[in-house]
Amino acid sequence: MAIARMRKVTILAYEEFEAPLFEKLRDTGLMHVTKSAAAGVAGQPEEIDSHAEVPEYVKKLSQLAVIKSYFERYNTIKKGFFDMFTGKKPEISFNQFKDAVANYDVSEVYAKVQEHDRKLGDIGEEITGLQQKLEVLQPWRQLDIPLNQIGETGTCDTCLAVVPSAVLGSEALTSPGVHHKVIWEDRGQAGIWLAVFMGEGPGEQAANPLLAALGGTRLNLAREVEDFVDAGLVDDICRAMETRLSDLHKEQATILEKDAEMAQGLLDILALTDYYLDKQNLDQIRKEASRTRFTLVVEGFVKAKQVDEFREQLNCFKDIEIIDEEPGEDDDVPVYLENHPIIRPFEAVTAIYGYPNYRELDPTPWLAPFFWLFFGLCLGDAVYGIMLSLFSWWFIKTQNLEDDRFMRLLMYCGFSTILAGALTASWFGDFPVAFLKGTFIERITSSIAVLDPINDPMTLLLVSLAFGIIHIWVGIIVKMVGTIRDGQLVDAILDNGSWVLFLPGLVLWGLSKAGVIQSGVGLYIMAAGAVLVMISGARNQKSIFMKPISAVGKFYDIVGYFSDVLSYARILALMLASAIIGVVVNTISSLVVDMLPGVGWVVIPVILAFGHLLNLAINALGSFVHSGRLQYVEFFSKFFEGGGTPFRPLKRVRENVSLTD
Amino acid sequence: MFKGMVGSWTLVGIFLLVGMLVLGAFFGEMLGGNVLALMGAGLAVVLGGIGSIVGVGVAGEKAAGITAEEPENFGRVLPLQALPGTQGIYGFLVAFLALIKMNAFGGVLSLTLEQGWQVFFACLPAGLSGLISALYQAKVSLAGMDIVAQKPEESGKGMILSAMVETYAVLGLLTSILLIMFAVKI
Repeated sequence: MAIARMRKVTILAYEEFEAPLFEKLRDTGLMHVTKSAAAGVAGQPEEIDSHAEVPEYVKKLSQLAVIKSYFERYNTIKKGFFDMFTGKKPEISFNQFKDAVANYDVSEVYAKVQEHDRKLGDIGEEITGLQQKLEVLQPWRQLDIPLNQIGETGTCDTCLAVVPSAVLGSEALTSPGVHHKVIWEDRGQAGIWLAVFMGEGPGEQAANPLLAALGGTRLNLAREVEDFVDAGLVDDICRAMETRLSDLHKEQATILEKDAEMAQGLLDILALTDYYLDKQNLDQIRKEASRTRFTLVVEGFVKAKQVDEFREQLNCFKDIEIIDEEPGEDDDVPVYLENHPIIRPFEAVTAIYGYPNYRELDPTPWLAPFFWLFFGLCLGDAVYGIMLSLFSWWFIKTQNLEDDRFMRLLMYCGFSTILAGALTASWFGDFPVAFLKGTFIERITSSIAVLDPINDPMTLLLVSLAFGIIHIWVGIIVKMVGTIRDGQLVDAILDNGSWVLFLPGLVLWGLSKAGVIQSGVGLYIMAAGAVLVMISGARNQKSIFMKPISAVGKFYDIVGYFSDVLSYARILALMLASAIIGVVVNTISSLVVDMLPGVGWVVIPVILAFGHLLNLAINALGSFVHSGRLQYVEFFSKFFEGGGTPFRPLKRVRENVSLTD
Repeated sequence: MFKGMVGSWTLVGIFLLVGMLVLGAFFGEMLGGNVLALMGAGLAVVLGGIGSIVGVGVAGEKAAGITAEEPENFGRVLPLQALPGTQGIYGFLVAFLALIKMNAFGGVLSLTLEQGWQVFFACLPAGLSGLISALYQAKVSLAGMDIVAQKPEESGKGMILSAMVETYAVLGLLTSILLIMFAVKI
């Protein structure tokens, strides 16, 4: 059936085989390892040693993470647009992988990366510093006095200062004992060289009072340029700085070039990350096993039909005991869904909700036809269906997906969309009518149509609700089948069978009342069902007086079913939404023809392509989530328990790269 | 009640609605049926639009944050961001249907006051339910992105949770469509 049978497997081995055993288990990829029930009970308690050596992979992984983020600045692995959606990993050949593990010196590269990172940081800092200084010096380049000679002489205080241009001709600057020279003038400011006679007294910085009076500021350029001051003239200093700058740029370029070259090894880094993650994973899995002084107990599950293969693979270990048995009642058995290839893509729908538990039915085959149908009805446009199917088909062919269930699902759902679209004459909305009126295409498309959702939504509403009733009815049947499978035949017939009879009886009776059908058989089916419903309501009631009330009260469930059925009106709404937006796009493009005579026909394809693609994208998303919701909320609530753990056999970690041969 | 993102934008929507109602109630005779109907159509677009703009906007910010951390999750957060966007489209759809019903593309409009009000109110279910559901749906989408960040393989669940809110926008849309097509007598 749909949920694969599992065998519980226990492996007993000498402890010395631990590492090779787990590696072998990983390589076979057949066993889902669980925590051993005996772990921590049998044998010695786990030794907790805080001084235990930190495993090598921890250090390597942290180094690799640093290298990876450093290398990614150079982005040497190109990713395609679709890879963002598929999560496709870069490919590496097995030989390159082996080579990387054997020869790549992570620590050395790490040290180099750290060094380069630091150097680049230092260089960057120095470059900004120099550029700022150059900016400050630039206006003073005309100064013909070396900077280191500006300062206090025996009798004079000389300095550079910035003053407002307005004071340049003022008396203070031209008075005796004061001498100045304008070096630059810009935006109301002027840079001057100033010499003030100090006389005989020890008047330190005699220029200061004068500058304060003028509203100027004294500059100490010599301090600003520090290391370069010996070059003498400002112009020379600037030149020295420029030389240094170009040296720095050259050094930077060399490092970047080296890094870019080194970053070619990004693929190796990713592969190595996977290699050490795998080690980490194995190490953690090993903790699940229990051990005595000399032996090791590994527990887990293997698919029943792979047990022989599993034993075969482990034959290489001589002194090892493998026990396989039927899982017990209390075991949390992992679930692997196994369906017919046609149904398999719909496992993606089940997986979104969660896996069934091991002991119940797999809902996938039951939900598959409904999901397929509902999606098609919601999207409901033949051309969109064709596009969706073709795109998914092309995607599966070209993208080499690990798990193509989802895209296959879309491809199948494209078929139902084509069907629904053809039946409702929706081909790119009303494209045939709007643009191809009178041609044979319009005649064909309208001749296969049976329903017009836009002008006759009532019929479609009834169709939607009818599908809803069938869906819910099937849900109750699945519950009945499950209960019978568990051996509770009476419960199944009374609790579920009653509704299985009652609901269609009610519908048939309603239809005959409304005069749609002539047969009165519905009344009898409904009556039979009603009796069973009442028995089912009454039988669990202890008190004899309360029994009639419980019996009648059971009919209250109808309210629940009724509101469930109403929820299917969304099928109509979504179908209308995609159909009408299609019509709107067509209408807008034909309006454009009228508005822009002549050039209108050029714009039409653009509007059509954009509008219809947008409609397709938005409504495909809506159709998917709403068809899903109808399964999860309305359908699953009738029978599904869930809570199963997915079957995840121990495998090599493939988080960053995928191996090719 | 009117605090936070949902509250304040709901308030904006209600102000718009009340403003239009007051305008129609006091100046209806002067404006005429055509203007009332157009106000209704506009309101459907604007109310649904506000919800979707704000919703897709805040969801987009968070989606960008998650994509920055893990670029490969882009494909997972994108549908979550897109989900609150449908309400704006529903509003547009209703407005367009109203325009078709009024024969706005066919020639001269001449609606009576009563017909104008009919169109106005027929547009409201999609507009109002769209506004509020988009805002709340955005909140669920934001929370759904936490699922993507922590357990990327479970992101489908976030989408379904977010879609639960949209149910009511879909019902509002359906009601507006049916009202415009069958209840409004033009």
